[in-house]
Amino acid sequence: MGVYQEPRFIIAGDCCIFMEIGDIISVEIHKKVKGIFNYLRKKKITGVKEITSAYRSINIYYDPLKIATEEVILQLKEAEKVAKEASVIIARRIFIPTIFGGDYGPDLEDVAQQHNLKPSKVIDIFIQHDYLNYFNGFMPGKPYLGGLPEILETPRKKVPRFNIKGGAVVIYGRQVALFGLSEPTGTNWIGCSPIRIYDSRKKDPVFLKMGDYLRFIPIPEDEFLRIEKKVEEQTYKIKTETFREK
Amino acid sequence: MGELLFKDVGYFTTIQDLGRWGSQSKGFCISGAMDHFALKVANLLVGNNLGEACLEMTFKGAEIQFIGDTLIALTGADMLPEINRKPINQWKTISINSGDILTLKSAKSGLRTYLSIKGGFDVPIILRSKSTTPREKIGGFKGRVIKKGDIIKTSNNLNNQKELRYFQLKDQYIPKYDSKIKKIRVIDGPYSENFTEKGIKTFYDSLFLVSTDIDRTGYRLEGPIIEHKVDAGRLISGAMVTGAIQVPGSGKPIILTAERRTHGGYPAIATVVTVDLPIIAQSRPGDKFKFELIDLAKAQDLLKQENNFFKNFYAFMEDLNVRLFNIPNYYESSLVKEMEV
Repeated sequence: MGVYQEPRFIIAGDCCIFMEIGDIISVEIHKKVKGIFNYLRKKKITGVKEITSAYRSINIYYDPLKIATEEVILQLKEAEKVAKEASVIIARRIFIPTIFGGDYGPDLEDVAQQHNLKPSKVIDIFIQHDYLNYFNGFMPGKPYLGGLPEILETPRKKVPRFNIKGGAVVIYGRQVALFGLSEPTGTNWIGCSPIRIYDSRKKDPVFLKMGDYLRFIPIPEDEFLRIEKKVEEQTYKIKTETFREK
Repeated sequence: MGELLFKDVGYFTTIQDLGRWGSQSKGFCISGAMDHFALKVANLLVGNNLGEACLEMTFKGAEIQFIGDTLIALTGADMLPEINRKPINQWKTISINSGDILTLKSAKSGLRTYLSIKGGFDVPIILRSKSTTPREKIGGFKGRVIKKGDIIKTSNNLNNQKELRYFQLKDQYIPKYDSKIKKIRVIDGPYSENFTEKGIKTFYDSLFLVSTDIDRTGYRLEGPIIEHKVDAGRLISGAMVTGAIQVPGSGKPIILTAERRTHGGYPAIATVVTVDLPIIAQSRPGDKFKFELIDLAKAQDLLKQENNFFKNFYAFMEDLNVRLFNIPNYYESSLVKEMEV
């Protein structure tokens, strides 16, 4: 388990290839993916329509009338050899104001019960950690966050919820997510943030980037409402800091 | 500038082009026309760029009053079009006089009809596309499905009628949508190794019924259960492709279509080849699919043949000295652009 000796090339339809470099979710694999992804994006290869990343793969969508599949594979192989692991020394930490429990996080009690903890203890543990954004996907701006401590590992709900709202903070397995838009989901909804990770009014509507670390800051309801209003007026500045990544 | 006034909108009408490429890493889906073949032909018939945005109407068509003289074309499913209550043909260039009313009915066969208009629709290009994704509230007309009473502007008015030419697609090229059993060509995977031999045999030997649970995101199929290997029904979330036939734990396949998510976590037993995606787009609940495995080289060869069809079409129009309107080329992979070299 971990990084493959040689990457796997997976043909995904007649216009796409996935290069898979490992079989788990890990920071080590993420850094390698990020390095290859950034290298290829800078390269601007003719015939390549789009490059995306996931936990353990780099994915190339191409036009086979402009570039041969074999050539795409060669480009990926070369990138895998040349690209250094994303040697990010400076990373971005983003502070996400969040209100937990109650109507803002209706699954908090249930999560606490599953772990035999008090809800306040779940929050205490949750807010002590940084959550790495492995990539954005699924919905505009939605981060795939990892790093939930084992003690809070929680399975998905058996019956999905149909009313989760934008700003919802959820946990599932050892992952964390933050929703931009209202959406049905089977994840455990523990809190809500007034910030918008997707704001269609902005020129760059997606705020979070691959490789960002998120830290959740508990806030009371009056603070939530105050920030929500500022976000609406586009006057709220999200607090961020840079730090040396280990 | 011309206008389209929607007196009725039919069942589900949106503006679509060839999709929003380049923003999946921000979480935006590709979207775009479900039937790229019909969209491209519609555009060529009015002298547009291949990838210009059209109206995509599903199941039941709209009633539209045109303000300003223009040219339109209707392709895809036959919605029995009438102009001022007189029947007209699809798959040909149609001249419109200001005030004309186009009325469409329910699709006789097929599911989706495309309306192109000379010069295209004057809607903003968002993240390099005019395609509407209602779920994300972006693209097309105000990021939503078109409603009764909406007025949409077009980018071009016709001043010089002399330059107009009329085209009709030959019958032999017009796709037929009425067969109840449809052969769908696929290539293997991604992640077909997550299925048992029995599961793979079931997939290729059975007929699958198109369920009533179909939309622009995906088509759920009914049929025998496709067997996974033990604990192989879920994957670490990874990339997705349009046409992928995913099989979740239930063993019931789902074909991912234009508004599929960017990422997901189910293995695909096979992927529909690009040239057969229009067959999916035009299928209705109750139709049956039979999947046929071909290899990658063959699938790409089919795509090349389709591309040659459009190249010849375009060359023919150029021979006739048709002036192609100068539309900003925001769609990078446009074949028209290639022809200009």
